[in-house]
Amino acid sequence: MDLAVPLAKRARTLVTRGYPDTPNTSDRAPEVAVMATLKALARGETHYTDRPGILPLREQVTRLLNKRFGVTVDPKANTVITCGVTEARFVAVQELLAPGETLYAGAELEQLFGALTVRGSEFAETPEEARVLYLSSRMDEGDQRRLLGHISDTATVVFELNQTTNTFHPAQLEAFQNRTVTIGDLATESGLESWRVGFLAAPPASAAGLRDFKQALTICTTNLSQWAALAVLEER
Amino acid sequence: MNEVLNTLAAIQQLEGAKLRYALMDLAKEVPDAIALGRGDPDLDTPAFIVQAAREALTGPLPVAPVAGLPELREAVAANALRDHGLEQGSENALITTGGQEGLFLVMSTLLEPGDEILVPDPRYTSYDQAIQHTGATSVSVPTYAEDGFDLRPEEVEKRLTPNTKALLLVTPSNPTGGVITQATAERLAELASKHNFVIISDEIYGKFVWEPHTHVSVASLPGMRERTVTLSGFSKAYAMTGWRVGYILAPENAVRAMAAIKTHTTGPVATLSQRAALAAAHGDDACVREFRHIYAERRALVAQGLSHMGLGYSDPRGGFFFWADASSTGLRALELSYLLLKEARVLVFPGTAFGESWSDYLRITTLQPTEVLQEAVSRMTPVVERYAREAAARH
Repeated sequence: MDLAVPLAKRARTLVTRGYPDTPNTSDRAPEVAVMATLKALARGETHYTDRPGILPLREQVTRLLNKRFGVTVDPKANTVITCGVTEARFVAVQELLAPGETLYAGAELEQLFGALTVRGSEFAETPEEARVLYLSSRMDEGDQRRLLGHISDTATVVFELNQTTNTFHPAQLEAFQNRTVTIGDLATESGLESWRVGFLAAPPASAAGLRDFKQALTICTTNLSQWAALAVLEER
Repeated sequence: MNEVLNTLAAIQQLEGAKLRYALMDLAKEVPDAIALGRGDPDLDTPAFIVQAAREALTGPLPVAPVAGLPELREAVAANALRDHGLEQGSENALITTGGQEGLFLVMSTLLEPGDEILVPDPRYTSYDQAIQHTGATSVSVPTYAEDGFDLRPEEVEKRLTPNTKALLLVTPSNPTGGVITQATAERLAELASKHNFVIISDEIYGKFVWEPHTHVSVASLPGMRERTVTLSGFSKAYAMTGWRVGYILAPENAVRAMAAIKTHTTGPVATLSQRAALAAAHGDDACVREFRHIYAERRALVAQGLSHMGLGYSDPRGGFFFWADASSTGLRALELSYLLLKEARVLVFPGTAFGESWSDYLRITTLQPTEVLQEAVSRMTPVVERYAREAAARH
């Protein structure tokens, strides 16, 4: 089939890197999630939710961050439920970077490439020149502290919460309290990989912009998925 | 009064989707407010679709491919032929996280800095951010009440430049309820071929076109399949907004490019939602026909109410909205929206949320039960009439 549609450069770039699919790994959802979904269906939870997500789930997220890291985030104003960590990562990159600005990644390089390409941004070669520093909880604490010591005073930190038990979080450091955006996955660890639920928790200065971008991208996260994730988190 | 002025001053700074959301937030603080703002069907998702979801929950729900479940892509393509005579294969279908993600993917795939995209005015302003994000420029094409807000091809042609990459059609239109006629579609197709631009056709309200008008899917016109990207979804047709399932129909290479970008925007759509959407797609659309009867009754009720209030409007040819001329009140649309919320406890959106120059217009949805719409009309009528009387007295 001939293509009359002219593709933008970013699309051509991503296509030449292949057509990646998410691995098919998930099985049946946990019983508690299934029951919560059935109840949500009975209540008619089939419409849009509030664009940042259902409040009880946002509250669970902030409780989780507080319990594990001692970090405080306002669930009403500064927390957003996303379609998996993929959307959280994408929204953070699009909103926190302008075209041409750079991101230094301590982890998750492969996952970040597409989001940077769509934004017209690139990886930084050194943390000093980066507008955004990207860290992950799976990184060694010492490595994270070392990178934090190299970034500029105006750089933002994106901290991706992975399936680890580490307890270091950049926002524990006073200098990074108001410039660290936390993102994470609420689904994979819960056996809900195919339900696509993640989150963004941000300082006040960047929260509204992140929420607006998420709304412009997908309006809200799948209603039933949010109730399922909430049930799993509440059971823990 | 100071509170009114302060709030108005704050929200006047906003535009487009941000203005709409600010008004929705304000409405949450008004007890017993009736929402005639957001385009969220109040009707329940049909029982057979919910039942399909219940049954899916009894088995495994593996992660779907990024482009969507193969059987859903097939069903979407088959329905394009059934409903619109549009021959597409599953390779031409991409499942998206609601129609909203679809529009972002289309813009990100097609537009680059320096490109121009023609957008009818008034417009669904949620497109703005997706277009701005690419660095492309949006060029407004006026539409007119006397045409029922159909697009005039000559207005499109006047604005074509060497940088024109695409024309955005929204048919039926949000917010005006206008639809593209067959003659207009054919003329636009000629222009697209002659000047080598793409038509992006948002047909999310395509199942709700009101007689005697008919829905025309531009991609079904001769030679247009290769230069049209069609956006649609399950949210409006099947009252499934919360499930977040939309789709794109496009040439295969464009689908592959959009899927590659989708890998990084949200990944695959939730599998449970796709299984529910599959039930909808395999259905015979009896539920849609039932919805159409319900919406027809509501449309008549709102039309009667607007006439009674003395507000002008064109009969919507499709979709869920009335685009009403409120100039008789002598108030700017934003001010009138705010006062209707405060005094009548009814949320409607000002025209300026859909284009800067539409300060005399209101967008009013029909997406509430009949008795709620009756109540909304009865609340709005004395407020509108009072302001209209005051405006008449001033003149």
